Amino acid sequence: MIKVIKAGLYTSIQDLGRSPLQPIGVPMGGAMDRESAQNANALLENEPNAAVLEITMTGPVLTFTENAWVAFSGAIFPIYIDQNTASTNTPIWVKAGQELRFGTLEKGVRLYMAIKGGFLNEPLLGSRSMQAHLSPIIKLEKGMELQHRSGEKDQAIILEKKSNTPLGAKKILAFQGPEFKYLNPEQQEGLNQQTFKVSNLNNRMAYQLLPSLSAFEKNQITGPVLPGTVQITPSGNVMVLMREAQTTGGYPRILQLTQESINALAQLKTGDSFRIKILPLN
Amino acid sequence: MLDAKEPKPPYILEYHPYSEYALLIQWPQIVSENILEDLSAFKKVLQNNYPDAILTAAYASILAVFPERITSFPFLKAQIKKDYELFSEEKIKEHLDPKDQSKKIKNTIKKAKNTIKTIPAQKILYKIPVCYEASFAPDLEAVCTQLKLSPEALISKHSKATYTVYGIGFLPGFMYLGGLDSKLEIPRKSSPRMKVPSGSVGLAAKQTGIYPCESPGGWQLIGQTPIPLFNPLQDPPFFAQVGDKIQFTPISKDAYKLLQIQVAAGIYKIEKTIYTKP
Repeated sequence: MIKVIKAGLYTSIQDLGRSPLQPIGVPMGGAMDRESAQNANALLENEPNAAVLEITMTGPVLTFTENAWVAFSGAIFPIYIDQNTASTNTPIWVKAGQELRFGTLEKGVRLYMAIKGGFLNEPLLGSRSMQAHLSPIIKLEKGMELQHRSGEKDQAIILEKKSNTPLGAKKILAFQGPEFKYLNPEQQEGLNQQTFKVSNLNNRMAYQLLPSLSAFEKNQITGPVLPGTVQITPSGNVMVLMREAQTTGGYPRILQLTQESINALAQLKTGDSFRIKILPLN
Repeated sequence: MLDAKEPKPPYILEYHPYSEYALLIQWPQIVSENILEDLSAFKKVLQNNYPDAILTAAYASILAVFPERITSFPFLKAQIKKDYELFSEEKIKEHLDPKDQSKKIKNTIKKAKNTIKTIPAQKILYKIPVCYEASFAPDLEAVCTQLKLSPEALISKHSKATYTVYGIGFLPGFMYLGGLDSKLEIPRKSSPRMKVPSGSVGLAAKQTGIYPCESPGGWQLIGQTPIPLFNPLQDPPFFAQVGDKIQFTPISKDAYKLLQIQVAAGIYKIEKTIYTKP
């Protein structure tokens, strides 16, 4: 097992979430940057859905009580195993008794740590993802013990494989949402030409962007939404729904981010700027 | 009730490519029992024809999410359009007595011969026990004052109605219930509570609803149910579907406590019947 000495800012166990339960109001959840989480798993020849650690902004301090293969992918932090530095995008052999800690975040927001065979916390509704309003524990806490299988040095691994998610993306790609057509030409143009910034209101549920567009009042019936759906509030606030978003929404859905761009946005932090490029979807 | 402006079935559906994996199907964007009924029945057809798709319904839309990227939206749209035409023809056939069928309809039915099997659009009525006594209903008194109703009148109006599940969202298992008596319409609280207890029954504008878990919330709380609505440890974790019906049964404080014991012992079963139109 792994002992949590320090939890870090927001470290949680995530897999690919609970998509089949959207019809009964359960958010999809799962890793914010799915590509990097899957890449970390791929390096250890895990199932894509194996549970990984999602490390956000500030890393935890962890002690291993058993040997294990681990792999990191996503944001860039200095990674230390005892006194030695470790790299992302390559498997690392950690021995029983060693301590894992992280330096100051250099680029991106979220780093994924896979372990051979995946973390073995109790699945809930078909997923091991920690999720608000559902899981008894939604993030790591000091003193917790994380279960995994003991590693063997000759286990199958892949030597190097990079995540395709950009860190610090300057362009976010999106399709027109069902209510895009109700925006006035000035607002439509604004979406295409404006430089947006991630506001300080950003978490696993949603990212609010700055600046707002002009006020937009539309009588709207509640309808289904997905991670990546961009909504506009009556006062013109632009909200991007992220992995843990609720499953229905009552605001106009003006854009839908591509899968790759949801991952890319998950690696942007407060104050990062980017432009939106609208693509056709037919 | 049919609004003068409300379109009649078969409806003109709109199809919007939503993401690489998802197609949004929209009925006329109106809150209508008839539209919801048509949508719920067609959802069963879709689930049958596309067993791998995840279909999320709410009010007047279905979002179909597929496990693989959609290679051709025009093709998928054409397929679903055809499914809906056949479904609508079947529906006409079911609802008309053979001797009343006009020649035109008979021909349509003939054309629809090798169609999808009709799946009965059966709806379930669930009865949810609610205690409206003061200790379970922090806003009841204020709501009664504002609406100029006695607590008895409010409870009677709230528990007499049959509600329709128009959508499930906001929280796992949170049902948007339509069909509220217009005399019970009241705006949300001006400042939301940080913690609404699980099981709280609330009012907000034209809707009533039950909080399936503790959460922040702004609805006016007029009662509480002892039964767990959403249980992640159970399979299935939630009982109702969009289109189903809900009724509230007023219970005393003592009955609330008894039900709590039954729930804890694992012997409580939610009361349900097949819904038949009054």
